[in-house]
Amino acid sequence: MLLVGWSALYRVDASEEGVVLRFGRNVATVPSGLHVKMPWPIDTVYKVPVQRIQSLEFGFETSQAGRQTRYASQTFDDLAVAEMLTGDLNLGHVEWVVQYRVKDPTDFLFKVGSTEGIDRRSLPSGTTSDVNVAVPDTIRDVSESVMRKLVGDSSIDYVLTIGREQLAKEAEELIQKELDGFEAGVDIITVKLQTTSPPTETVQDAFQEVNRARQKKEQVVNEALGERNSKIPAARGEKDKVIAEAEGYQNRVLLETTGKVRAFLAQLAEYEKAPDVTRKRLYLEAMEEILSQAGSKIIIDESVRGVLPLLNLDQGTPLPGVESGGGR
Amino acid sequence: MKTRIAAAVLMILVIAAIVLYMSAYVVEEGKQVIVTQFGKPVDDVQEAGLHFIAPFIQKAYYLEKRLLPWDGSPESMQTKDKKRIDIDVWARWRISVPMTFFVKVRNEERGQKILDDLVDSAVRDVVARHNLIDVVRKSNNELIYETEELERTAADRVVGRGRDDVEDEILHGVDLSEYGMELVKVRIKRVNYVASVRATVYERMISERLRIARLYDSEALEEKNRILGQTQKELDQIEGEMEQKATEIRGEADAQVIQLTAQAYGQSPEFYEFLRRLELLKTTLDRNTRLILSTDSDLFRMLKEPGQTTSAPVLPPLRILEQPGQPTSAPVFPPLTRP
Repeated sequence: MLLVGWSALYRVDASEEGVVLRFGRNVATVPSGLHVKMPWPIDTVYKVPVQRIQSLEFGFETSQAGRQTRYASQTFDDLAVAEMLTGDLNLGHVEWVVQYRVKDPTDFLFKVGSTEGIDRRSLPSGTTSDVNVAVPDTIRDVSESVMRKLVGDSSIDYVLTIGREQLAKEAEELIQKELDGFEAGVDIITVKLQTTSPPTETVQDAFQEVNRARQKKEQVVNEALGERNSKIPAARGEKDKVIAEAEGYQNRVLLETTGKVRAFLAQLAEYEKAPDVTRKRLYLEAMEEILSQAGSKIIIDESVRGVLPLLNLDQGTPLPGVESGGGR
Repeated sequence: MKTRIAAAVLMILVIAAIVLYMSAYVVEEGKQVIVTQFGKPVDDVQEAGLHFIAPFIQKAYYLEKRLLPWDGSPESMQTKDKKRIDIDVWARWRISVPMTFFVKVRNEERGQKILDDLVDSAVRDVVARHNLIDVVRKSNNELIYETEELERTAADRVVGRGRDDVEDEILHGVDLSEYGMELVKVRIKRVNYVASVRATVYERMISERLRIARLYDSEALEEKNRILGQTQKELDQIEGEMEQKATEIRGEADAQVIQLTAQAYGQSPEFYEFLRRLELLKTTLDRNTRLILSTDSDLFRMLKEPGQTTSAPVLPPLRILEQPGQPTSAPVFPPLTRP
């Protein structure tokens, strides 16, 4: 009795749904909680983790997830999964992740199978659940063929850089469509591209070389533009400065000349009233100024000769161009 | 007596239970059952639930009703354009006519074996009819590149829907109806050059990229020289304009000066010359100048002969000596010409 009672009670975890089979026939799907069923062998219950999001990794393997996730070194098989032909017949290395969730536990259990049947297997969290391993295998196969089909219709550039998001989006749609065709009962939550790279280190280096050259080009062009930007405005400033100076010069000489001309005309007007006297006066005034300014004066008479040689001695230097006599 | 009856009843119940147990069987969802009678299949059961057979005479064999996987192993083969490729396909199939399947194949493992033979050969046939590009691509959509330089003008064209067609042809090239099986889907999982060719593909990718890198390098120089040349051109233009404008302005100023002075001084060139000479004397002679004056000069002559007047005093003949610096030649008064 106890045994029968025990087999009549069962618990469905928070993340699970229970699929109840009566003599193998699906009669109910129950949510999480404590439930009663008909005792064995009438009812059996499969617990399917419908809430749990599961991940499949392609081309790499997480060996230990944690704060700092460790990745297992890539095996030959990982490389075979990741290496694919692009539409331009180049080779690319693409790693990606597919996350899915069971959306219909009945379909999940009874539509896609394998010859191994339904496994009871240990899940990472330590709970035991009934999981149809055929479904993840199917998702795996579908994902690989879909990703290759998309990459096969893209350029290597598209796969490596510009098209990553688009590829992931299209892959998600196509994988979902194919799995719905199989009634696999799963919902593809997301497809994320991880590393996408050229196939080998040396090819990678060549790609890097292109990036380097592109950046170098930008740098060289920017430097040239910088030089231009530093020179052109300076030249324009110089131009404005020189022109302004010329204009200043014009202004100044015109003012000066006007002054001089007016002064001259004024003087002339006065001069013409008494030319002789004015002329003499001006001459004498000038002489006065000159003679008072001059450092030394030697006054010689025509009759006195021989002074000049003495002067020469006095100077200690020859006086070129000095001729005897001072007659005009 | 009572115990005997009880024992007999119990016996009958146990036998009934055993018979019941032997005749009842459960068909679970996703399964189907073939019932045989003396080894000959007589019935197939699709419905899930509790079913019965005649014990000892009949037997129930379970078969999968679900979609079943098939995964081929990678095969090396040649395309129509003589490219060696490794190709790996998967398929999904199901048991469609369980009676036929049970008779001809018996179980799922042997079903897989049949697929191994049939699908592989179909793949070979179809791949041999197609170029590599048809196996790789599924459309003739323009390939998108990051840089224009990479856009290849003469990429191989795909026939029809390419890979989709190849997969369909493989699917239709496998006839499983005589086995009571149905091939639901065939997909190319992996396709790649054979290992020996891959190395040359890597080389090609490298040389292609390096070619582009070199192109960028030379484009950088081109662009730089273009910018610097343009800059120099603009600088020359600016400086030329500067010279032109400044010279024009200064020339105009000088012309105006000439015009103004000519107008004014032209009224009395003699007076102007006289004033200028006096001015010149004043500026030429300074405190470092030694003057040697003859008593014959005008200055003194005026003293000697106070009564005599000259209409135009003549400038003194002067010997001007720089002192104490370098000896200089006697200055010569610049000729003053009338404007």
